[in-house]
Amino acid sequence: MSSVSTPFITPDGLLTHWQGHRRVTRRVIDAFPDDKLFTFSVGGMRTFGELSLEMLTMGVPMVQGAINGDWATSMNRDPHPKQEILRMWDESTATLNTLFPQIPADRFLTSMTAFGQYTAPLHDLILYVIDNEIHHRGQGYVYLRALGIEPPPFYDRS
Amino acid sequence: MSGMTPEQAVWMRDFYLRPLKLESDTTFKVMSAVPDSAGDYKPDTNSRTALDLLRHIAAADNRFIETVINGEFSTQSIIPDAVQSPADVAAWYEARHAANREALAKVPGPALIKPVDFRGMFTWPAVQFLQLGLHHTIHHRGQLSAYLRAMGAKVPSIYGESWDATQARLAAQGATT
Repeated sequence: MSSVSTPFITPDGLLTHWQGHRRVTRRVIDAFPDDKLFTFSVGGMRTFGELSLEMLTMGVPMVQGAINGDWATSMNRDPHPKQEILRMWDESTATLNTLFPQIPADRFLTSMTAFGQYTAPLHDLILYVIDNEIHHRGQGYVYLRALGIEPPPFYDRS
Repeated sequence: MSGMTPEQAVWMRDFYLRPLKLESDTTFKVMSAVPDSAGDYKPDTNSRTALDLLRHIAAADNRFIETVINGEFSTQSIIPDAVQSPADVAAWYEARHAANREALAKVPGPALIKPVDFRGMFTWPAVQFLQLGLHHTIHHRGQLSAYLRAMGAKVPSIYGESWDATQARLAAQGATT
């Protein structure tokens, strides 16, 4: 293993990468009809509205916890109107942009226990949040197809 | 990420070897959860069949690693036509992925930063295709996982314990008390 002092991505680059994925996910949320976001799924899986709330309650709280050790988050998955989910999403986007630069550079290599149960270096925890979002967004693509809706291209993160 | 040094590329390659193994283990579990009788399942007429999705994941996940090993992105088919059942695809995927990870670990730094064209859309240092491949697989594996219950199969644990895994664990605990 090479020295860990040779980073291949800057914190700013990681945030840009994450926000690119979040833009795609926002488009997926927006593609759902309002009355399907919290009612429709395939095979009894969770709705995309519930999955969106999971993403929202992992993103900012992960960064907040990394900064000040406050790992509080919400487990509420009650239905919300689509526009309210989108508003929360946009609010999270702005909050991430504000909080992320506050993470001390050396903390990305520091092992910590997120939400009292996930122990790993911070960079792994953040990558986990991104991977989890991509995974559940893939489910959303299946739901949209099943609703007869063309999903947005997942490679376009603009 | 332009201007990557060979040293940074080696660090990046070494960093990704662990998630490549962990994620491929998970991908194999999801593939193996598809019953051989359900290869034709698709949730909508416009969706891929489960078998098409399996073959796409198996081929693409290996193709992205081979892009780094070979220093070029090839569009040649790599999964044999004869590999057609979900179980056979999963077995082919697992064996090829293990061999590719072994080869990947030996690619020297200068080769890892070789510029590689992706279908004329962009050019990246070869090693950067590891991240693209991981995310591509996670996306499509998420799709495949959404097929499972609807086809009568169980969803294995992917990121945290799945509902089906929880039920199996509780049932096993109940059987022993």
